[in-house]
Amino acid sequence: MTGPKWLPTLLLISIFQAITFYQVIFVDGKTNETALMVFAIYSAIEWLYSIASSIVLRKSSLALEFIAFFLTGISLVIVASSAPSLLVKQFIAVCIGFVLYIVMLFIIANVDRAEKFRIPMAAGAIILLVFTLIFARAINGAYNWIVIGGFSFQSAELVKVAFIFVGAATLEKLQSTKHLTAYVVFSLVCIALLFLMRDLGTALIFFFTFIVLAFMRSGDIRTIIFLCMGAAMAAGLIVLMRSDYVMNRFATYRHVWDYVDGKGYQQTRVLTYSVSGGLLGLGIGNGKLQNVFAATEDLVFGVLCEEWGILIAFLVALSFVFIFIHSIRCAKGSRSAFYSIASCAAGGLFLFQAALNIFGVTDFLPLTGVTLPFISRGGSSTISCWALLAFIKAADNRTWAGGKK
Amino acid sequence: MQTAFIVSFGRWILPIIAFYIIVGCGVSLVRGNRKVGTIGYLINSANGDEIPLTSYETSIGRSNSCDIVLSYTTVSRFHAVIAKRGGKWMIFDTYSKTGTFINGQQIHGKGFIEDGDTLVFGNAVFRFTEHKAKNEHPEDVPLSTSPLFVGDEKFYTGEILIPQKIKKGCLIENCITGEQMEIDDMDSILIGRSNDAHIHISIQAASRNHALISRSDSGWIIEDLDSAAGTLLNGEPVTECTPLKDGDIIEICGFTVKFVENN
Repeated sequence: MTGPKWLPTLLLISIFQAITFYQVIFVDGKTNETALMVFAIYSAIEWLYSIASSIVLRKSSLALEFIAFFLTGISLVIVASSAPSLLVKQFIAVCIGFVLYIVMLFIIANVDRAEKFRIPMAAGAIILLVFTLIFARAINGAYNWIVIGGFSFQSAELVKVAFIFVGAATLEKLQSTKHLTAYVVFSLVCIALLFLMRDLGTALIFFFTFIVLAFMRSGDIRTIIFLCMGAAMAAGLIVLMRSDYVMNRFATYRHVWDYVDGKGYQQTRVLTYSVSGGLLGLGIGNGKLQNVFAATEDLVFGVLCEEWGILIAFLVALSFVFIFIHSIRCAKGSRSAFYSIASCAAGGLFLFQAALNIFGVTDFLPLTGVTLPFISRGGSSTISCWALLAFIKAADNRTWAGGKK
Repeated sequence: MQTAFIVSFGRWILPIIAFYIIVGCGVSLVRGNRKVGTIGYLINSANGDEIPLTSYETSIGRSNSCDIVLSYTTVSRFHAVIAKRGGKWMIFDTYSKTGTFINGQQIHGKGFIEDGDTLVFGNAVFRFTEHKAKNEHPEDVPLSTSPLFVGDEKFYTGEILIPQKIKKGCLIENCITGEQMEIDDMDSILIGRSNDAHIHISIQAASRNHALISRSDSGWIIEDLDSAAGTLLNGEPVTECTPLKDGDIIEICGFTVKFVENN
């Protein structure tokens, strides 16, 4: 087994989670049994998976899963602290996401089998987005929530997985197709539907992912420049057509302090409370940002800075950089162009989304309302993050090394 | 009191633990993938060049964006892909104009290949092997028992029609079948698709009068007769009269012969 020794690393993760969960399980002399149960089951999942992978399946590196476990653990503690009533719901989403991660790994283990899923996935993605556009319920200004039987989810988060799945292709497919037309049409339809849903942040993520996929597929920088120019013209047209909606998103950009109690309320609180946490933080549950709207979702990086400290927040941000670099390195020696493309796209998506979130809440970029991968509360987001992680894992040759022994 | 201690203790210890976890895992991730190394070879039958296959998927074609670039006019820009999937080697023809052949059999879509198979892309002939050859000289290439081109009899029947008068001295040897043609008592040898050619090649891409090997004061020379597909000598295009020396490999649209000076 290469990489970090799995046993000491997992022990450290468990110690970290034990200390953090302790602070939300035992509060004011009372025991939060729900949090205790979640911690126990979550730890059991981590250990069972690690033991199964490293001994039974002989997987050679668990570093990627360890980072995901670590980030997800932080997310669960933040939810248990700031929104305890939603902890079970969030934990169920984590479990679904984890199962989906394993299922995805199984599906894409064989690229020929994975290729068969491309067309159904493309059709499913378009249908889901159209369905959402027609029947969606507006939440926080965006028409991207579907509510079925009291269970609500963001279809765009699930479409992210399909978007990369459809965009990735084996080398012989790329060499046979020679042009991107079909995928460009599919991407434009997805992005246009997202824009119609007013989900500007996700549309931006999709576009960035599309650029990565297009570059990986064509290997031609001129194609990318052409696509970017086309997108810039389309964006200009959209701004002219729907200037009120778009400009509203930029109204407070770089001027949040002019709207301290208005549109800049969230960002000014994030900036203020993040700094007040200092390097080591105020302690879990001791922050004030948790009382601000969307604290555990869009503003979760601020909560992290305030309660957990800037050091841990920085390490969380750094983990996305590590995942991105890993995704690129995996692409070089993966078993198929399918894995290379999907890995780079997923790694780029994580980093881009994390950057949009972190720089958005700190007013370096316009606030787009996207989530911080693995950390933000949200079932759809959590599930899609775990599913996307499978693309990066599959590109790592070490993942499949065990099976040959 | 106990919780306060944990909170206070946690504030200090958590960043240290987080640092070890993230940096430890991060360094492992950045070190990245296990290197593939060389998992197979393509040996050029013309000159014995050994091309290592260092990826699970390798593209072959005339385009510079291909992993293996073959500068032959009969090779398509994106000709084929060799891939290793699930422990098995496969070759995909990516809609090439001249086709891809495994041991003389044209493949349609994809085909499985095994160690020692002869692969033909346009006029380029390769032997595939999973192991590094001990002696890369082309004469060590095992001879195929089947004709080189049998996939489409109309276009690819590359059997060599050699006059049956075999004598000692200089000769031309078919690299694939091993047939030999004594040329000592000849002044010139015409190679081409024409029925009058001394070495007849039934390959559509070849010109009727493709190339000429002739005797000069300094020895045997070869010239390309303004053929459409061109003639390669040891992998290099023949642009003018070029002297031949022992062991030279002449390639015409995938048809490969060796010039041998026996004396």
